[in-house]
Amino acid sequence: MNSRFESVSPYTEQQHLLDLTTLDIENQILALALTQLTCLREDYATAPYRDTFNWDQIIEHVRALAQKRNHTWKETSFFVVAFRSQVLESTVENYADLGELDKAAHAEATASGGFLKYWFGTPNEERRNLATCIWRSPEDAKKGGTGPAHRKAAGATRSLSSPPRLTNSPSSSLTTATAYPTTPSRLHVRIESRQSAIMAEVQKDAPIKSVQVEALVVMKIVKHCSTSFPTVATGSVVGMDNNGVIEVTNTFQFPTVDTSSSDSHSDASSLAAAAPRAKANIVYQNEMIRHLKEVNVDANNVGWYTSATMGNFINMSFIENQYHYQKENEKTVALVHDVSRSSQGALSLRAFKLSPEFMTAYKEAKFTTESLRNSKLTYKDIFVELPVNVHNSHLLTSFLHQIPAPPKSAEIPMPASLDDIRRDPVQIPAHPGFESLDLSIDPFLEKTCDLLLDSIESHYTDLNNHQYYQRQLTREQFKITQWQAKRKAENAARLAAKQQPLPEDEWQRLFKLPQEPSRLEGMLNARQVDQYARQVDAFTANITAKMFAVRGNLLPE
Amino acid sequence: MAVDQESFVHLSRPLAPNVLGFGVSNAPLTVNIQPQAVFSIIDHAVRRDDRDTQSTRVIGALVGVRSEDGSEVEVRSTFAIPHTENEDQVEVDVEYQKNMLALTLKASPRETLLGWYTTSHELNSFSALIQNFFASPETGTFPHPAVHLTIGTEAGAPIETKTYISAPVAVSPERAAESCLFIEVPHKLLFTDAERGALGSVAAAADAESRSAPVVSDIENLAQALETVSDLLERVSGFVGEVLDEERDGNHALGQYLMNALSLAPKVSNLAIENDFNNHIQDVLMVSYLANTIRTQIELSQRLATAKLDEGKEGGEKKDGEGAEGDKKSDGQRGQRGQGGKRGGRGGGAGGRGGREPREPREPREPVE
Repeated sequence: MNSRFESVSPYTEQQHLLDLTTLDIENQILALALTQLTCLREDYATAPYRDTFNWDQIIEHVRALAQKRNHTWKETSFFVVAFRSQVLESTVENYADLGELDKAAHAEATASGGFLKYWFGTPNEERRNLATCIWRSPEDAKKGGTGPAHRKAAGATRSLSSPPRLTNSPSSSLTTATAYPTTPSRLHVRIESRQSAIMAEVQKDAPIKSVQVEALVVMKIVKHCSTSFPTVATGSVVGMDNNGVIEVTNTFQFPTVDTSSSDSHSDASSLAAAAPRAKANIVYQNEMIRHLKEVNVDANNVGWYTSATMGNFINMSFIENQYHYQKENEKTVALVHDVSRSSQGALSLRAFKLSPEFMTAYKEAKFTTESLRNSKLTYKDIFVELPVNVHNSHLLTSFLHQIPAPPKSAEIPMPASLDDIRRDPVQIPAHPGFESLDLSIDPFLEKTCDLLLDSIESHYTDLNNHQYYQRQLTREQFKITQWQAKRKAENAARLAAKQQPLPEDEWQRLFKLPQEPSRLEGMLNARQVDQYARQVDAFTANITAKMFAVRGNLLPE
Repeated sequence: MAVDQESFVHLSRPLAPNVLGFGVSNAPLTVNIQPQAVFSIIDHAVRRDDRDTQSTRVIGALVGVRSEDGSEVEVRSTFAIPHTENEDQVEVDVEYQKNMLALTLKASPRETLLGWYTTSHELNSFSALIQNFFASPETGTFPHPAVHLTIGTEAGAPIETKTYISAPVAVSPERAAESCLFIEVPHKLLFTDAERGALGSVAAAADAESRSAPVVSDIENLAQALETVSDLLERVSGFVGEVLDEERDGNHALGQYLMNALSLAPKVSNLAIENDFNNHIQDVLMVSYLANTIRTQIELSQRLATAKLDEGKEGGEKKDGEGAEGDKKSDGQRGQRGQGGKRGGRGGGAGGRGGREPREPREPREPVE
């Protein structure tokens, strides 16, 4: 074999060979050493990455090669990408097609440079597989992964792979790795020649700080929610996570069953509220995302949206939906658009996610008094609210500056008559809106009060449940004490009669303590009341200001 | 609000002979465009991929509703269609268009395909080819005309929108597929009330240097609105002052207009105003006070529910205490409901309620403290 070119992948054609002259000496040595890379484990598709390959031997090899060339090894970092995938059952037969795409993608990546090693396995019986690349640097990896062939392959695999599910692997933070991740994963391997150790450090993901919503998304959500009002409207939001900021770039509504003929409103609402976690909609969502990606939209699933009336969205359905999203991907949010509040002028769009503490508690479904006491979880810790920013593209900004169109000349002609003014009224700019100066705020206050009363009622029901449980518990405990006393007396009698004492812990079998009802409902209700109260506060502040303005206007000092 | 063209001459479109049998009207067509459709086109224009294709424009489909007689269409949403274009051929991903249309219609079954858009004003033979595709009986909007929307996204030029429908033109049969007559039809950008608020915050972002703006709370929004109003009032009074000082010529129409506006101020006695004002503000503060009381009670109940207490008997006592509290709460609730009822019946008129109410619901709170 030509010593300049080295075969670093299962493909051996010229275009798949690595040109060693393009590399510095450290990379050359590693590339040569990596030709010895072998897989140690049968279960490589799911095994920890560190244990999957013969890294110790590679390090030995690196050392030997360095000695042979009389080279002092400098500490060097390389970039490792591990793809863990699971192809769908239907695609096992056309796996060969994928192979073709893969080959093309590899040739392209090799041409871009810095690609030191490529290895892949064959799918196991669960159709899981592992493939791995070793790059000179993350930049190379990024460069190599963006060509047309890569994208083509990525498009194909997206449709063919189901999302990877990893549990016990240290690289499980690489969950974004579909077979071709658009963002390179962050497993970082440092090879030190002396200790011959690999230190795998997984960079901590930045937590979400805020949500940035494109104007398009705002308009779409508002439109959908207001047309389906008062029925709840739900949909999916897509975008990407950029350094702790979730950028929401597009959105689409979930298909709803047309219930106009037979069912009532509440049915339609509950169906729509359950839509984000319905099986059919997950398929729909994946299909839609795949289509959006084809036209260059940054379409990764980042959550869902729902409509609300006066902040009444805190319920079990909301929690279940958000849990459904957040358990798969930590970085998903629920956008809540409040139709009623927005009708007062100011847009009401809020972003929520479940707090990590609540996620754990919900996962274990533990909401008993005791567990809450131990975890110190209160109703205030259910949600984390994230600040929402609205963002425009440059093109959109210039479009917005045209509505209403600015006057054509600097000098505006004076109107000739009153009808002139009426016929051509002044175009008021959209910002700031004067709707918020509307004085009729009482209906909103009234509606909030009604909702508040409903909440109190459900709080009362919750209390009754607990009281019932408590009475039940006391009754059972009383029975147990009675039984224990009786047994004790019996035993004393038996002891006196020199007989074997009867066991004293039989009550555990005889009596069954009632199950404590979940505290979750109560917590949600408390959170809801809290929200209403704050809303009323906000209204009060608004009304008071307006009232004083009106008085100041009508009764000048 | 509608951003409208001022006036428009409707041209009647010639109909193809074979179309006449379907009873198609050639009545004037009006196109209403909802802002999210335009936003979506602009977003698509920004995201176009200019690596694979020589074309500078992007195309996509218009989806929306059509009135029963077909004389008015409303564009509600759009979706992008990948296409490549060079000097002698154009390729549109028909399969993609079909799938995407099916997906879109699944979510909103009442909408239909209306036509297509592109991001340049140029009309060429490719436009005709695509237009004929969208107007054809199998894949398009037939028997209704397909709407073609162009929106200029050239740098430096204003973003203009134009809408067209088409009619076949008499050319040789082999060229029929790639030729048609585009007739411009009027359109307007239609904003509904619900979108005003959204547009407000989007416009706020447009005014900012960073092109992004936070979603502000109601009170901040009110502050901004009040500031703007007082600025505008300042301007008007400045204008009037200038006219009075004879620095500027007066205008009868404007004077009349201002006079009319000022005469709208109601004539109510000061005492009545003061009275109504006090009553209303008391009510509002009362509701706020009650809401906060309820919040405190709920918080208390939540804390008691998980408070560190000894197990067993005392737990039972705790629950009793909580139950009693619940009873009290229901009292408070009744008290408030009474008020809620009155509030509902009031309907904006000034009623003679006052100091009596605050005491009533306060009672249940006192024993708790």
